[in-house]
Amino acid sequence: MSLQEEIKKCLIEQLSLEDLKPEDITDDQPLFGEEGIGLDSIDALEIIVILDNHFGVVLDNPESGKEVFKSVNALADYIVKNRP
Amino acid sequence: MTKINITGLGVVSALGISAKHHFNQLKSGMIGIGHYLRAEQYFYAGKVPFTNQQLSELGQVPFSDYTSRTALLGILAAKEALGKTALDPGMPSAFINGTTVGGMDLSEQYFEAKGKGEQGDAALFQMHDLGANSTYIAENLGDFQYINTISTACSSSANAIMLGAQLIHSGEFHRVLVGGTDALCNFTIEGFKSLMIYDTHLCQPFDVNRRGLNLGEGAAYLLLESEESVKQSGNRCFARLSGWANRNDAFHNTGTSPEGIGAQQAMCAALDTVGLKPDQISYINAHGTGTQNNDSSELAAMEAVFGDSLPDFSSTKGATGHTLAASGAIEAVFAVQSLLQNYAFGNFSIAEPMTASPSLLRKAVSKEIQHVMSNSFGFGGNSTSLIFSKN
Amino acid sequence: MQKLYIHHAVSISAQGLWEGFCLSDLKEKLQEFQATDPEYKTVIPVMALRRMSKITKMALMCGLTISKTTTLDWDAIIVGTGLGNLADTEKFLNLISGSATGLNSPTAFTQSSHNTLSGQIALQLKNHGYNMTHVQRNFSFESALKDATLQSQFGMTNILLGAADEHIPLLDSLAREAGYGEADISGFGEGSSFFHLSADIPSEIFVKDSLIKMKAQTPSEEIDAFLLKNQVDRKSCLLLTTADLISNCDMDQRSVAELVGRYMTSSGIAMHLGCSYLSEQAYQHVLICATSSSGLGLTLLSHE
Repeated sequence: MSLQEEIKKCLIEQLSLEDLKPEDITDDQPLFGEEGIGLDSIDALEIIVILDNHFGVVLDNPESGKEVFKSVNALADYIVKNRP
Repeated sequence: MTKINITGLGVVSALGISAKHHFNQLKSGMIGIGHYLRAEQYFYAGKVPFTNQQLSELGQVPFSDYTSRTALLGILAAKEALGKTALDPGMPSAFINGTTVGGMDLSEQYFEAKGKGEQGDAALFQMHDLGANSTYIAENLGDFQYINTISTACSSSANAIMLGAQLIHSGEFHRVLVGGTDALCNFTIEGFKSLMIYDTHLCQPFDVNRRGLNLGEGAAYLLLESEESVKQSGNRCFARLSGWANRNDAFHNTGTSPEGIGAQQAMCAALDTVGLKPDQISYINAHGTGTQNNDSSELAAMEAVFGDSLPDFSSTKGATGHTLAASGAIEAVFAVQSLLQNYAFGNFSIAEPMTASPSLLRKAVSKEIQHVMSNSFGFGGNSTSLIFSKN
Repeated sequence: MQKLYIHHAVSISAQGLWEGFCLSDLKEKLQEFQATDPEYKTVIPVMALRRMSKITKMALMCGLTISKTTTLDWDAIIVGTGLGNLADTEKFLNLISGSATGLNSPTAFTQSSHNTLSGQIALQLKNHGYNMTHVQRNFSFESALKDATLQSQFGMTNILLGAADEHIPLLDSLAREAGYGEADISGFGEGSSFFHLSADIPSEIFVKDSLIKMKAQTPSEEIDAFLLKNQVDRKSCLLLTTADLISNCDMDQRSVAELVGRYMTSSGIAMHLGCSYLSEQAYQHVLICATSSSGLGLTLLSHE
């Protein structure tokens, strides 16, 4: 499974996106806002928890989160760069 | 408009016990928030400096492992506010209490035990529900004809105060003890940490570099009386509760809209109930939690409502911590004292103010205060504004 | 007391989704009282729904369904709940009791406030009006109704009034540990009921009077006095209780506990049932009686 696939599975499970399958989320698609799959600020916090608990990557500042979490690819990049 | 007399004040917080003591502490710039070790990490919180055993003794109630700290804090403050006023069936009375955690300090012990693989004690849940706490406090004070609990997160006790005023206004009750209480507990500490809005340093409401809130615990009550009741009790009227309103931000479950719509509407509606113009408010005790979101929304809302006549304002949460449901009532007590003493508190721990406006008080100010506003905003968009006026 | 006209009601309980005033589909002789989930997705946006526990889904479904039947904005949204969001509270407590360090997921915490119900309704409707939540055990709904009456005196004429409580397995195990018998435990229920109340737009059915007494005489004595005060002939009045039937009471009566089980705010669904009886003109009045260990709450509904 690619990192992108792993991320998508985590997102679907942790964010309770019950109606979505991994193939419904494209790697470059915006995750936040109405143009995206519609995640909000609570989801951003949940993603920080996923990054920490599942991938071992810490993000201290939730404000910078929105840039890092722009898309699945952006998340994958961040994980690769910051993995222990 | 029916006159709502405020004839009793009671408060407990990290600053100590009693309304008078709190005023002196605030005036001397005392900060009650302390630095504590918890799960091998330090954190800041406004803890009331008494154990449950000590609170029971002070409140003159029997100590029990099954009495919630929330109720014990409440008893202490409620007894002070009620003072020597008797509850007389001829003068129908009510107790309206605001709380969010209720007996959570006990319930979480059950889960901690279970988490360690131990047998939990089911009796710890006897006071879990909020109403049980209000009933316990009320029954230790006397016979109230009506007891009710309001739970609207951080505006709970402000709403309890508003409901009390409306009950007197309706003529159904003449004496209403109103306010709220919340104890510090792991649930709320971890909750705000999970939202990443719990400041790991001392909180700095309305500061440009603010990082979040510090939780506190406490309780406060006000005794509200009708004119008829005051004639019978002979109590001195400290101030009038003259305006009130509750509105909803309807923007996000936990955050507030950038413009503070709910706050704006609550403030405007409160001014309308008393028929005051914005420039007649001399001082605002703001909600001012120290989070990026609240303080910027709140400032935007105040600017929208007051324009060029933005009153002097400050948050006292820098001294007490954010006492959640109790905050509305604690700050109402402080607002009444501001009126009585013609004294506007400064913002605590402020280093770089969010606005250049001199209305954001760096230091306390002695000034004539005819009308003071106190605001409280909670999760679920709940927004409440109260106005107190000189007798 | 100023009349509060009742225009519509929606409930969710072991009786399923119940809209409007009708008695025909009531299920009798139920053995257990888990609320039947309707198709929440048809009313609640999916991205909001995904986070919600049962109590919030039920309350929101009822509140939004009623809101679709009127073009008016609510002046007030007032809710009563006895125990609040238990599932979310339990979830977050388990989370923080399990891990000593590490980040905790915030969702359950954000959903656990008692005013999540009233807050979510306002959020979905973008309603900025008065929004209140009452949590006073068996009288949570009665207190919410009392608040609605008060607000109508202050000019709020269009009110969404509701109540909800949920049942979780933990309640059963705690009850067992506290010595409750299985018969009592199997009687626990859950549900949500919401109403469109109006202070100025008349309808055939209205709230005529209400009373909450923390320390009451026997229920039958209180009922006698209340009916006398309102000049209600007991032969024209149906008594609906939330728990046991009232003894020494010479009136037709039934308990909603047999339909929906027992929960702190079941007087809400008793009001829905009462409106349905009045709508079919089976009775002129319905008296709802909720009791606590020492007190009681009475709500009198009448047909014009």
